[in-house]
Amino acid sequence: MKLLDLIFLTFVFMTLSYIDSKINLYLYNFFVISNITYLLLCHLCFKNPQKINSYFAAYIGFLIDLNQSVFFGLHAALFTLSILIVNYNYYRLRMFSKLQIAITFSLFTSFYVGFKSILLSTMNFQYLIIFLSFFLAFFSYLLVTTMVKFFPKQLKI
Amino acid sequence: MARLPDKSSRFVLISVFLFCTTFLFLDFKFNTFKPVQNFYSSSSLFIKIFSKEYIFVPIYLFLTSNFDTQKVKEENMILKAELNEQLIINYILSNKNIPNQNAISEKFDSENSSFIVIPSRVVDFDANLYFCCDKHRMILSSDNNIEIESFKVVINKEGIIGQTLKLNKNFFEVILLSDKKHNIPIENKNDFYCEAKGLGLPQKIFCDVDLTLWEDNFEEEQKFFTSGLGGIFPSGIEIGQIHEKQELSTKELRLIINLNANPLSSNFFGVLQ
Repeated sequence: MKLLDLIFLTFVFMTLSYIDSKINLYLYNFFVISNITYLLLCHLCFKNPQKINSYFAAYIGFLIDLNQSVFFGLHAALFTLSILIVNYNYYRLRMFSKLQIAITFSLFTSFYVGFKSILLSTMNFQYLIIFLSFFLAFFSYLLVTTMVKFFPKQLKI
Repeated sequence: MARLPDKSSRFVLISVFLFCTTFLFLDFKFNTFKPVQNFYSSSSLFIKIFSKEYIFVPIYLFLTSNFDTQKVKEENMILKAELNEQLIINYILSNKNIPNQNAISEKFDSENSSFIVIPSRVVDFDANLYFCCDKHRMILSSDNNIEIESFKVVINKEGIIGQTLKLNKNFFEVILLSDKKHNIPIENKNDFYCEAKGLGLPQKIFCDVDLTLWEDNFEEEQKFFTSGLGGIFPSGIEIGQIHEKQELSTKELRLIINLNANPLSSNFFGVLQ
């Protein structure tokens, strides 16, 4: 990956992480968590697994961990695990329709929210959040795919 | 075995994951990377404040005002700073509704008081973490640039909100009472003592009662006070009321206590020295 691409993607991911945290501030009351950052990572990895590899996932994950001051390695581990799963099932996922892909990534998001909740909110773990986040992730994924279309073509994703 | 689209081998994929997991385990279990995170947060705060004071504000002043209006604005800023200072003092010292039942303010009023209040204000507070997770922290800076040590009591106009953890010379972290890792010794009027822990929910702490040792004479809305044991918190200050009683087993009861002091109610705080 070129340095400029890396800077651009870092900026995009950090901005989305910031937007996520701001949106979540209002969504907690409705037991939903927005995960646009994670969905973007999954989508980009699915589109270009050579470029969005496990090193990139770990790098972005560690940055988000530092920025959100949560356990160091939490996002990094979950992001690399997702990249691992997407890579191992890449050809299987390629056979899926767009709707099935959206459902699959929404399921991934539910697991992501679950793991995060277990570690960050141990005493107040709620299945309702995981369940409802699935639906929000489904609609957010549609937004993510639209957003990626506006990325500069030089990025080649 | 499945074919991989990525040029990197399975070994790389799995080893990067294991590497990150090791980091997570070390931080979760031993807080190994706490200094790194502290360094990052204090540096980012420094950059934020420095850029605001020395880059954005001067540029803003330069763009929005000519020489005369700039002078007026500077004067205005000085007055505003003075007003803020007065507001902090008013909030914490003069206001009779300061901590609950004026327990702390009575202590301040007395001439033999051993408490000194250092006005402080919020520098950074992740409300997102406060609502979503168990970690309820807040970063403050003292107004008089006084170095704040760890384990000092932090109050606002509604009561005690937590205790300090020193970050560096300029900033200090406040671990709120509702933080999962926070403990506070409390008592009620029936001489029941317990060490309440943060529930990880906004304004909630809990206390586990062993019914083989204590009688179940707890009622909702029953008030709880600081017991002063441990030597950090002053005794006799109302902390909150019982919000809910949960039966953990036939021999164990959990009291969920709703805290009086809301850390979001004001940006101004006082640190008891």
